[in-house]
Amino acid sequence: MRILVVEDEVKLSNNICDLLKTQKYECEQAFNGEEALDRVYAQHFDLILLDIMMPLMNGIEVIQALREASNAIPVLMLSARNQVQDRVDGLDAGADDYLSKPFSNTELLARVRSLLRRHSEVKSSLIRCKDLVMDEVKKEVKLNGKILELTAKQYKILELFMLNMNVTFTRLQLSEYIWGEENTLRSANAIDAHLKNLRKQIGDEYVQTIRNIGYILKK
Amino acid sequence: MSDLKEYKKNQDRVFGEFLHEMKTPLSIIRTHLEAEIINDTIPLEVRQKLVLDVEEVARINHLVNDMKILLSNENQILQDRFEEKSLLVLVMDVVESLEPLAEIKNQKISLVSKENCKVLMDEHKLKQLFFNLISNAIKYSPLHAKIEVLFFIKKNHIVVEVKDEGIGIAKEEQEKIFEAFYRVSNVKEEGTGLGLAVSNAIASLHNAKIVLKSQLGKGSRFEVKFEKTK
Repeated sequence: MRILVVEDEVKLSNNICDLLKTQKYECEQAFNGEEALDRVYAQHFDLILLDIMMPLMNGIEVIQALREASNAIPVLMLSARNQVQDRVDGLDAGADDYLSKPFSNTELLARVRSLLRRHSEVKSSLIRCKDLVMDEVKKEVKLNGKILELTAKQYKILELFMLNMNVTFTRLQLSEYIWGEENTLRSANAIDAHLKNLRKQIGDEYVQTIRNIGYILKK
Repeated sequence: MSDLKEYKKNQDRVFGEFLHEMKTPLSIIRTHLEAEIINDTIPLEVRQKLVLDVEEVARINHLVNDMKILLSNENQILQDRFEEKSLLVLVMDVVESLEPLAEIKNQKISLVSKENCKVLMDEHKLKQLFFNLISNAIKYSPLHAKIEVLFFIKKNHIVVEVKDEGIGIAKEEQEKIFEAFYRVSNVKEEGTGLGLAVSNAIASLHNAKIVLKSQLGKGSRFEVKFEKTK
């Protein structure tokens, strides 16, 4: 999968690329809107991560240009503006999703995966890990063929792990995922309690603890 | 507009820009650290320390976000984009996400409602308000305590009440606890000191009011009163 990162802050762009490369994505960089369009027209990409505030041509103009040219490549907008106006303008222009800075690696990877899955040609709603099968359309999970009764939050946590197998999530990342960035509890106990409840449903062997770091679901 | 108001508005704008400028470097530091945390070639004990560093970065970011809510000039933009949504669904979601935390202390949260009213809201911000109130109730209540979240209509208001059996707040401190960075004297818990100030600002943003009734040692009742739309 090839991803184009369009971001004028060089350090941030490099960090995003390093992160994406850890997940085996191929990554190219552009540092302004015009360069981004040149690259998209010249090469194939599966996804664009696009900053909004940029010199020469801003992110929203880039999306407009792409969509006017009937280019349907998925676009994940990035912006430091934690304001609704940018989100609305970007989505109106044809972006597929939005992430406000600073974002956690967890959130970025989860959105990237989700967008790539949504636009992949082989569309399967089933995700499998050993005897655990998640159906993203029906929003249900089966263990050895038996449907589990998960709460909405348990499903949400498990979905994150199933979409990101072999990725370690810290407690902070998980708490931001569950409660939102603005509601992070400085209590590791709260996350452990959620995970304990999830394990009661799916068993202990799936989500493993990495001491003083977080949790991982291994393939 | 008076000179003083103009000056205040300008100060808020500058401060808002300053907060905005802080977000990119924080983002860079965090992304870099988190990439190292998942790097298996780095020794575990080093990665464990980086986890703590990321938590500190997140703490600064949390403060930045909270300070932004306290700036009045950010509010108009938010209000322009309000959506009408169910208040009950929103509160139920917050309660569900906090239940495991209450279970640790063997506490029970009950949600009692006969009303399913819709209000114009910024969903994220309003969730933050109820998250603050309910997580405080959990934090400051003893083991086995009961926490109640009640919905009702009182005159022209939709009221959501969060009621706990916690340590309570002394009368002379009840107004001050809504001030930024004020610390209640009988509390040891750590926090940014902005929680209730931010909750109050979020309530104002929604033309709502938070009314506190509390007695030391007997618990607290926080009523969030929304104006009922016709």
